Amino acid sequence: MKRALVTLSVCRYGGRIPDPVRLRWMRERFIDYERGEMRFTNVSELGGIRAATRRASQSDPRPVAPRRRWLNRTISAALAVALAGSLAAACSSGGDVSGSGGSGSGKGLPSGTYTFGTEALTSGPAALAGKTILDGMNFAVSEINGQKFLGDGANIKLDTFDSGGDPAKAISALNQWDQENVTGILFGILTTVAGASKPVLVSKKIPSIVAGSLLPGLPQPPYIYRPQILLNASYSQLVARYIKVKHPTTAVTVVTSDNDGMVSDGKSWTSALEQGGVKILKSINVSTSDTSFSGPAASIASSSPDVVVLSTLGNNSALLIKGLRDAGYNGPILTNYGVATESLIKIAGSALHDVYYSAAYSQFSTYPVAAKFTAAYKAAKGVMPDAFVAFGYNTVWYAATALKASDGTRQGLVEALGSLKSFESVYGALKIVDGQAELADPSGAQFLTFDSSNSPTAWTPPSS
Amino acid sequence: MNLLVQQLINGVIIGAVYAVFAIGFALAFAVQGVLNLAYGAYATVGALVALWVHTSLGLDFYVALPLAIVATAAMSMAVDQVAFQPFRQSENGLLGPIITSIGVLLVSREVTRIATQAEPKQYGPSFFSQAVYKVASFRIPAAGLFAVAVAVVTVIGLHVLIRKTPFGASMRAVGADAVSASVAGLSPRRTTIYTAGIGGALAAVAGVTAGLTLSNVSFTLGDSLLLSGFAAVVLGGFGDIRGAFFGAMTLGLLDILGAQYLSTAFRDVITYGAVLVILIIRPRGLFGEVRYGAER
Repeated sequence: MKRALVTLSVCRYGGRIPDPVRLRWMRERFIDYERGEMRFTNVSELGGIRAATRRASQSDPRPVAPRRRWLNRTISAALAVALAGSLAAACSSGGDVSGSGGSGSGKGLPSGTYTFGTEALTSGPAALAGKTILDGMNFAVSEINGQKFLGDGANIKLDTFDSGGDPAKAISALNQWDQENVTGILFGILTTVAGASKPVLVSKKIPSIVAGSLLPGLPQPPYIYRPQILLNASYSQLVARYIKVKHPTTAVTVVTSDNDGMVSDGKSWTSALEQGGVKILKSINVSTSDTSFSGPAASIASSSPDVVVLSTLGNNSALLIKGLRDAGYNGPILTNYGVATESLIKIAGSALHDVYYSAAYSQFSTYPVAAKFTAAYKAAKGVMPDAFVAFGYNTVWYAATALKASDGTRQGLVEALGSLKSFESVYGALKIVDGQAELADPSGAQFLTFDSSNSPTAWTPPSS
Repeated sequence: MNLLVQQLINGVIIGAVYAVFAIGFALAFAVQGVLNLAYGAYATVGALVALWVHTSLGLDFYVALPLAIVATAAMSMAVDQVAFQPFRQSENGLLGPIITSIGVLLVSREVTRIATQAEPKQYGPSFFSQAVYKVASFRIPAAGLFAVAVAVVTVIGLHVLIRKTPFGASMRAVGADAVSASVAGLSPRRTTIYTAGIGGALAAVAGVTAGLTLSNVSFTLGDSLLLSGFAAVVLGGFGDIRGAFFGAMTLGLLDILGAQYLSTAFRDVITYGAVLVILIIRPRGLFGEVRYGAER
């Protein structure tokens, strides 16, 4: 009863329940237990209440030193920030993404709906690319089912799951899809997720197709295939052609160092530059989550290189290109297709002048499959597809082409994927070597720049 | 030498962006008693509201910024009363509100992701000047000047508010001991609500300033601000806005100069390693833990 009265009294006056030390002190000094109220009414009497409270605290047999309290609070706060960081990281991490049409007549594919577990990436910093890839996938599904590509009564369906770039979530989804006995899996937009998923998929013997990651060594027949082409060779071609036209002698390279695909690409760029006799003045590392590039930009501008090469993710590239122009560097910039998405082009704006990049797919491609895809997508969506849409589109068409040649079982799909040695894609004719797609015509990569309205346009330098 | 000065300018600009955020974060922590990990989300919301007001309603910067401030302040006050006030009443310590703030962070993040369709955006020249001024051989963007001006005005204005006004006195009193403050006739709850509003307003200003300076407004804008802002507060010392300001400036300079003169590969290691060393030498930060209500 006494405790209840004390609590009521204190709450009435303070709105908060005091800690045990303060409670005891207040009980001894101010509480009228008979009335359940404070003993005084004149607030001025409380002038020294805080000091008195402190004195009471000091008499507590287990005092908490101010320093200890500060340390406890700092440690709690640091742990909380680390926890929040982990949660945020679960929705983030680095991303890399750099497309297809198929034809054929399958035999023996029973009617039914064939489900592919599909790792989407619609949250986190790489969500822009992931969302666009998923858009391309869904467009391919609508075409495949609309055309009855798999035959009467046979449809393809994507069971999507947003991993947020978290490998643990992605692996959990893989296990779930395995138990649900999906036909196959489309996975790996981020290198971190792709690398973690690979051993699980191989151990479970699930036929899987890489949806975007450029992680080196990712394909592993007979289970994992990547129908996207690696552009390392095209970087060499772009550099060689650029050197032939502009004769640069010095360069600065920038690499998104927490993304294996970009690091691998960076080595290709560096190798191509060095082979062309270009001196690398400095190499700068940035990370996926970086948004402030004034420092690196000033550093690059002060070096006055003849050319800057960016092996960076799209968002990094757009902000860095703008930062470079603001810092006074107005020279040429070579990079990958990551910057060539609508929203990033808006961010970089006129800074894209004198920027050159290579891509496996572009809206200017005259290759029949690519031209057909571009026209169909434009007609359906009202906008031109970008390289990421092509990524998703190509992945699903590749899966459907193999599925059509199978008996509809997992093992059948494994065998069909193993037998698929060539594929007509939005990139051009592909050959599949050890699970990895390569252009049948190695010179098939496209080189682009930006016109005066900042729209991508074909760059046709003289051939080396 | 020119490069050093240019990088110092860049460091001060980045530090200024961190500073406005850190000051609001420190203020909220000291008075509200909550380590609000959703504070970064407030900055994102502020930046996006300003963008929406400009792009959808066609209103300029001078209207969009105040509206963003009002909207974010209202959000901050609502979150404080719904998510944090019950914990304050029950005195359940720091952990409960921290977990709740993480919940608010995740919900806000998802809402802003859907609102932006995960696409990075920018304010554009019609919103704020994208001019880059050239002083001697140094380049200073207009947005950078704005960021520094805002940071200076914020730190002076808040210092005056806290030290020279009756409301500031009540903030200090509640920050020192809410029970004693209430016994002395103050309303801790009202003070806390108003402080939450000021914190939200500062987050909005920090978000817009960051969006202008970085040329990038995305649903993840507040994430990096949160980490940097928290580090700045720890570095400067909890409970003193001057500490948060100088902590943020130190962090910005460490960030830029570390990358320039030591290694870009270990930039964060250098920055936060330096923070660690400073904290080992001065565990309470550069300015120590000066509670707002403490007699000095």
